[in-house]
Amino acid sequence: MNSRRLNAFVEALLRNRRPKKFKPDADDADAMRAAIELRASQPDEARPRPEFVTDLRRQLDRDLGGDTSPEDQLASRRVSRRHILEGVGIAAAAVTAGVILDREVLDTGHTTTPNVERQLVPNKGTWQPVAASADLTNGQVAPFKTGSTVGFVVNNAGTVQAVSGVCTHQGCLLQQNPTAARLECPCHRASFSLDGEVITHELSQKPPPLPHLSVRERDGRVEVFTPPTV
Amino acid sequence: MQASAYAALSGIAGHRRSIVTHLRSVSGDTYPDWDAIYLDNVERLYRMMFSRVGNRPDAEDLTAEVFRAALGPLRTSASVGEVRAYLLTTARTVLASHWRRRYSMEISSIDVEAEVASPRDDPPQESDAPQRVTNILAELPERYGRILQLRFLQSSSLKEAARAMNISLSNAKVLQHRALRRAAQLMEEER
Repeated sequence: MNSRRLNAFVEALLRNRRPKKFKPDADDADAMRAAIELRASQPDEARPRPEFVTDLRRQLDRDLGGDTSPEDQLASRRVSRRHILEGVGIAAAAVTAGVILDREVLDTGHTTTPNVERQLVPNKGTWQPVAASADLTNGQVAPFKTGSTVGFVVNNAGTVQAVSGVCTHQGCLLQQNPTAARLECPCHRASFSLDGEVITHELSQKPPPLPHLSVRERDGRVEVFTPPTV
Repeated sequence: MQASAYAALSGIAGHRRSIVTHLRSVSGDTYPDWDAIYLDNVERLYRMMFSRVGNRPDAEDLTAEVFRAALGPLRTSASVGEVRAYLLTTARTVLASHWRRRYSMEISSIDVEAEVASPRDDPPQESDAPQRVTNILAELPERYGRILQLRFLQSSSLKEAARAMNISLSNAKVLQHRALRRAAQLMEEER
């Protein structure tokens, strides 16, 4: 039994680091299994990072160009790079919203004008209650999370709106700043107004505004139209 | 990483064929393109890997490895069921070679048949893992349950846990170690 190595293994799991190589015996292996199960039972930890999902998708997209002619490869890489600059935010939001973008949209990145506010309407979806109307008085903001979507509903002078809660830059989850009426990205300090416009950013390119989601009020509840859980 | 994935794949080919024939009658739906395959499966695969390795960097690498390995051989004309079975089989091999590489033994594995058989539309969020773990901790001797609770559920450092339990740091280490082994036994019994 190797207590020190096993301890290092446990510490690595708890800090989300890559555990080091060693030669465990059968007892160690049992303890490692238990540690993994305990660690993996935490629902917040078990979810993939949106940036990971977006980045891997981009890499795979690039790898897929590998079978074609060198010119096509170059073209696809060019597109991929532009896609990094303009499309990633959209893709990240889409992943979170469970919206499947057509490949054509990705491959013809030059035809998209980013920065146009997008309304995300899933093809298949359901109305999900996210807040009680009574709780969402004028000026109030409420974060919500359904199986597939993260966002905020806002009562803007009597009109209820819903925006995506995922930063359009790299897909980090936005946090509500309770004192200033805005949504802030903890990753690169971009901030958005409650209706999704970019207020501040420190990026070389202004990120696109937050997509809006369809929202309605019914039976005293605020409901958002969200895609089915993937 | 790449090399092992591809080596792994050559071993899968035969098995894959049997799964593919097996599933053909089950699901006729197909994915429109690779992107759809990716989006529909990435979260599920990541969650499965995370539940087997318990840390983010490894779960991310292994998920990426599965998709890269599957990228070439997989036809998008395959049915949804075939694609999933193929990804699962790839995942099993990728995970097994990860364990062999790092610890010379398999710490966890993927039961492809069981995963394929489980209802396809289970939302990936829904998991009985938290409840299972709560039950396990409750069954452990009080101090064993307490230290694991502090470390794994409340994210206390070893030092904080030692302080909370009023024991020395080295005692906390020993206690944690014993508690994990006892928990492993209980988990094994409940499976």
